[in-house]
Amino acid sequence: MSEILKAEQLTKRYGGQCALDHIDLSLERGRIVGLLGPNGSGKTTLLKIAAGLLSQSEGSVTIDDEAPGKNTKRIVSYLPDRPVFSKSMRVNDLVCKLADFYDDFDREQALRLFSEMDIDLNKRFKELSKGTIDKVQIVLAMSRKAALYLLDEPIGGVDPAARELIIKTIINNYNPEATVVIATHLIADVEPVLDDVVFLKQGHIVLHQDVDGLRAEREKSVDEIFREVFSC
Amino acid sequence: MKWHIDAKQPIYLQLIRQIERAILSGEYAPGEKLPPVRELAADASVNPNTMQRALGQLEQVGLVHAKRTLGRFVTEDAALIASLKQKMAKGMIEDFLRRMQEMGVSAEEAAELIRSYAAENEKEEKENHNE
Amino acid sequence: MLGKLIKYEFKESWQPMVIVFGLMLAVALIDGIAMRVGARVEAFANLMSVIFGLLVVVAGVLVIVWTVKRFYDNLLSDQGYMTMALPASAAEQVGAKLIVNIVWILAYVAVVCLSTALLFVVSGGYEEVARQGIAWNFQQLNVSIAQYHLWASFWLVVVLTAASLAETILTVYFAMAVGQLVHRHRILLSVVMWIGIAVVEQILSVRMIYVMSDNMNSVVAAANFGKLVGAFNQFGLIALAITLVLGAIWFIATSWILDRHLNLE
Repeated sequence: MSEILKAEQLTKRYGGQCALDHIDLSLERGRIVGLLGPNGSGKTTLLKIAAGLLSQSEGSVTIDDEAPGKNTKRIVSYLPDRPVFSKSMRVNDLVCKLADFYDDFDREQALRLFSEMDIDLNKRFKELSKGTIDKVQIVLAMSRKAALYLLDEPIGGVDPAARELIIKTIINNYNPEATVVIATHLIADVEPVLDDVVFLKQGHIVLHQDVDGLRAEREKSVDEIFREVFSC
Repeated sequence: MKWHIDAKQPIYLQLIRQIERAILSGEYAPGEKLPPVRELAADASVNPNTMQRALGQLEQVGLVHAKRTLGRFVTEDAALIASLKQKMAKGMIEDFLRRMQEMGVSAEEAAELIRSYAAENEKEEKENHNE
Repeated sequence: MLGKLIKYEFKESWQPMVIVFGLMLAVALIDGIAMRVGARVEAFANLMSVIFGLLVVVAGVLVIVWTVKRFYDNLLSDQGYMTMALPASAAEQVGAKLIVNIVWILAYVAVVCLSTALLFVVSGGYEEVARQGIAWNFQQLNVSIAQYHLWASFWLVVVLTAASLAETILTVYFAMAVGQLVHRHRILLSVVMWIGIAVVEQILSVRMIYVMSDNMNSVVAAANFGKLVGAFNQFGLIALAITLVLGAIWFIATSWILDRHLNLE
C-alpha cells in the first residue's frame, strides 16, 4: 500500500460554512506535496483532521489505512499554525518530553538544528520571540522520523536565513517512505522543493498535479499559475 | 556549484543542463564521485525526486554512471565528454548564428567579428598582465 | 503511555499545589507557635487563626480551579494541539488527568488534616487534652466497633467519598467535552451542561435518601443497633455501585467524545 493518506468525500462544516466540501484526495509515499490556497481555503482544516485534532462532518480520511487515532499519531508529525506550548516550559523540557513519547524522535537532529539556529535550550517559551517559537516548533516537527509530515505554514513567520535552513532540512529529511505536506500561501520559496501541488479553493480541490508537468504544460511557475487560478 | 533555478520551467531539465555543464567544464572531474542525491538536492534547494530524475537522464546519456552501492560517478569516457562538449558548443553556435542572421549579419561576417574580438581581447589581457 | 501521561501531568502541575500546601503548613506552624507564646501575642495569634481558616477554604477552591484549568488548558485549548497529537488514546488522556486530579485533592485533604494536627500539637492543645485526663479507653472502643461492624462502615464511607469525588470530577470533564463540540458559546454550554447534571444528580440522591429513610424507619423501630449498621452498610454499597457506574458512564462518554468528536479550534 503506497498511499499514505486517503480522503474520501471529506467534509467539514462550521455552523453554516463549509470549510471542506467533499474532498477526494490520495497522497502517495515519498512525495513532497504543496497544499496551496489562500487563507480560509481549508488547508488548516484538512491538516487538523488528518492529524486527529478535528473530527469531520462527513466522509473519511485514513492514514496508512487507519482512521486518525493513537496509531496514526505515532507516525504523523504535525506542525500547527500557532504557538502551542505552555509558556513556562523550557525548550529542553519539551525536547525531553517529545523524545519520551515518540519513538521516532531524533534528539540529535533537534539539538543540531537548534544550535544552527542559535536557539538557547534553557530559555522558557515566554522569553522567546514569536519568530523563535515558530522555529522551535518547526525543528521539533522535522526532528521526527515520521511517515507523514503535516506542516502548516512552516516558513511563514521566519527570517530568510531560517527559511533556507528549514527547506534544506525538509529535503534532507526526505526518505522514499515518507510524505511531506506543506500547506502555505507563500509559494515562490517552496516551489522548487515540491513534487506535487494541490490547489485548494473554498474547500474544493481545483488542481492536483505534479509540478514539473504543470510547468511544462503551462510554461509558467507554480506561483504564477496560482495567482491566475486564485485571482478571481 | 552554483545553481540557477527558474521556477517557470521544468526544474529537472534545468538540473540536467547545469550538471551537464559542470561535468563538461570540468567542475566535476572525470571519474569523480558525485555527492548523494539528497545532498545535491539540498544544495540546489530542489526536490530530491526531481534531482533523481535529472541524474537518471544523465545516466542514460552516459555522462554519469551508478556503481551499485558506491554511488554515482562522473564518466571517465573522455571521448564522450569531448563529443558532448562539441555538441553543446554547436548548439550555442547555431543559436548565435541564427540571431546574427536575424540582425542581418551573415555567418562569415559573424566569424570575422569573433576572430577580431578574440584578438582584441587577447591584446587587452596582455596589457593588463604587464601593468 | 498512561504512566508517561501521569508522570508529565504531575511534572507540569505540581508547583501551585505544593506552594499552597506549604503555605498552609507554614501558617499552621506560625499560628501554633503564636498560641503557645500566649497572651502577649494574642491578637497576632487570632489573626493567624483567621488566616489559616481562610487559607484552608481558598486552597480548596484553588485545587479545584487548578485541576479544571489543567484539563481545559492542556487538552482543549491551544496546548491541545500538542497534547492531543501525542500517541495516546483519549481514554488514556482523560484517565491520566483524573488520577492526578484525585491525588491532588487527596493531598489537599491530607495537608489540611496535617496542618490542623500540627496546629493542635504545636500550640500545646494536645498536652492540654492529655493533662485534663480525657481518657481514651481504646480497648472498649475497639470492641464496640468490631461488634457492630463499624470498621466496614468506616471504610465504606472512605471509599464512597473517594468514588463520589472521582464521579464529580468526571462530570466536569464530561461537561467540558460536550462544550467543545460546538463552534460558539463553548464555555456557556459546558457550564449549563454541568449544572444540569449536578441538579439531576442531586435530585436523584435526595430521592434515594428518602427511600433509605423509609427503610431505616422500620429498622430503627426494631431498636437494633447492629441491624441499623447493617442497613446503613447495605445502603452505602448500593450508593457506591451507583456512583461507580455513573463515573464509568461519564468516563466512557468523555473519552468517546474526545476520541471521535474532537473539535480543537
